[in-house]
Amino acid sequence: MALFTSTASAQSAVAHSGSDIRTQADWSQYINTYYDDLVDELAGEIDASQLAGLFREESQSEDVHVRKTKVRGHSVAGINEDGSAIPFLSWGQGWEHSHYVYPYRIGVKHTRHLEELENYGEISQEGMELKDSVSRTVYYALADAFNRCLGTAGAPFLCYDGMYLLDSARPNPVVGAPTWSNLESTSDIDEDALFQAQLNAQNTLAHNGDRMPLSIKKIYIPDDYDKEMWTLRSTAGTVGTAMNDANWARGRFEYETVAEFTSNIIIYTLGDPKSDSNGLQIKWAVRPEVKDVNFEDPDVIGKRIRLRWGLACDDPRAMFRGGALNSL
Amino acid sequence: MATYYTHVQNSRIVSGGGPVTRQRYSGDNAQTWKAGQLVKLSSGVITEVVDNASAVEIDTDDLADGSVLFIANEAVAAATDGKVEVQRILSSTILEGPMLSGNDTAPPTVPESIIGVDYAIYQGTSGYFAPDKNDEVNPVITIVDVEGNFKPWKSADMNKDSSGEQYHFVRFKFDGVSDV
Repeated sequence: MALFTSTASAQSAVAHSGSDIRTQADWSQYINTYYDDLVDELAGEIDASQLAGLFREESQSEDVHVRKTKVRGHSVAGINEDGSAIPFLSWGQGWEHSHYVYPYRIGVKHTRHLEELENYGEISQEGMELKDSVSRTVYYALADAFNRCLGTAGAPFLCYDGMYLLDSARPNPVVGAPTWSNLESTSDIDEDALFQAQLNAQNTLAHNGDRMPLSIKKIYIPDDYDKEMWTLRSTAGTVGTAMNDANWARGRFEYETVAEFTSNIIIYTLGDPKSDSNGLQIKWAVRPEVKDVNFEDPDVIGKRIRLRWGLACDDPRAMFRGGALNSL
Repeated sequence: MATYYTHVQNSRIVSGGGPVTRQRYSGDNAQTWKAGQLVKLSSGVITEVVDNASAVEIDTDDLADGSVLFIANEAVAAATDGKVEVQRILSSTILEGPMLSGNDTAPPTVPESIIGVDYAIYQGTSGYFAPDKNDEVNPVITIVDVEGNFKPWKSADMNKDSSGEQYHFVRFKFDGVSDV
């Protein structure tokens, strides 16, 4: 059986070229040699659509887009007889904050010599490589918005109140309105935690201290917690007990697992993230576009991909609650 | 304290690389190098850049002002004279590599405060090279950017040595190299 028995022997990593231009020297082993085939290493395809679904997408042409909010005072009408003085609603200016977009670029170039000699068609893959690079950039940036949403290692952006996406003791722009929180206590995924989150959503106060009842529409968790959440949603009795009590959380909330969540976090959405009430936004100044780069040397051929964009958040109140999860 | 001199990746040109040319090298048997290694023009031939003393530290003793510097695109295991493809490193050429350290408790961090700081190069016996954060004597490179700016979403698993220590990257330029 010796012919059919192989023993593992790990290959060593290969160093890449030290150059910023692709030349025939990089490919000397492949050009006009005995290799029958050149196989691209697998990198998989990146799909950021699930993450993008948690953001509202907006256009922004300016590098810095300055916004100001309008606030309303306490807005309940009182008893007021006809003919007496009518009290009027108050209003005023709120906070000023800015949305930023940044240019991102990456390019690729090769020599004409390589193009003439390379007989595997790899040069034609450069456009795909650039597109893949940008897909990964967007994907990592969107994931980062949630993985650092608690601010434990800073965050890629702050909300309009100067706080992280999920935070406690959040200020309100109207004097006298109490601070508020969309940060749940660190917990397991259990009946009590979900009930408390739902209760906290119901008890949300608006920017002026008025009641603003909200309810959980969907839950997003890392893949690792799928089993815990599935058990909680599927079990008729309270999980982990002799089950005299019914399970409040059974089948109550829809949830999705998000492979890109690498932090132990749970996100509750309170509405449609594509609606105007979602403060969390992707700001597009220029969507990804590819253009040729014209070098002084006509025999160096290159292209670049460019996008101008950023992430920003106004008031996260109407859309996001959440917090850290205990490690499994 | 320990040394963190693992070239988890060799430094490479990421932008502003000079012309790619084929240059003659000496057939001296001592002249062997890998693709990606630093080489310079010396007496009309391409020559390895090595430390005059210990073969690890590249500073102004080894890379005099006005050096004509290249990165090798091809390996050379020389027995006879020949030509080799090299790419010129100009004063505007930006390279990227891991920050090394000879005396730290972990691979050195790369805060923005080191942008503009000059360091010498550590070149291991493998021939690969990268800035040495502990060596600011007779420096040859200047840090122009740190990974927090150009690799904001680096995987926590990448660029680790065999002990699982993660290295951090910088971008840098060579000082005093010839553009002529």
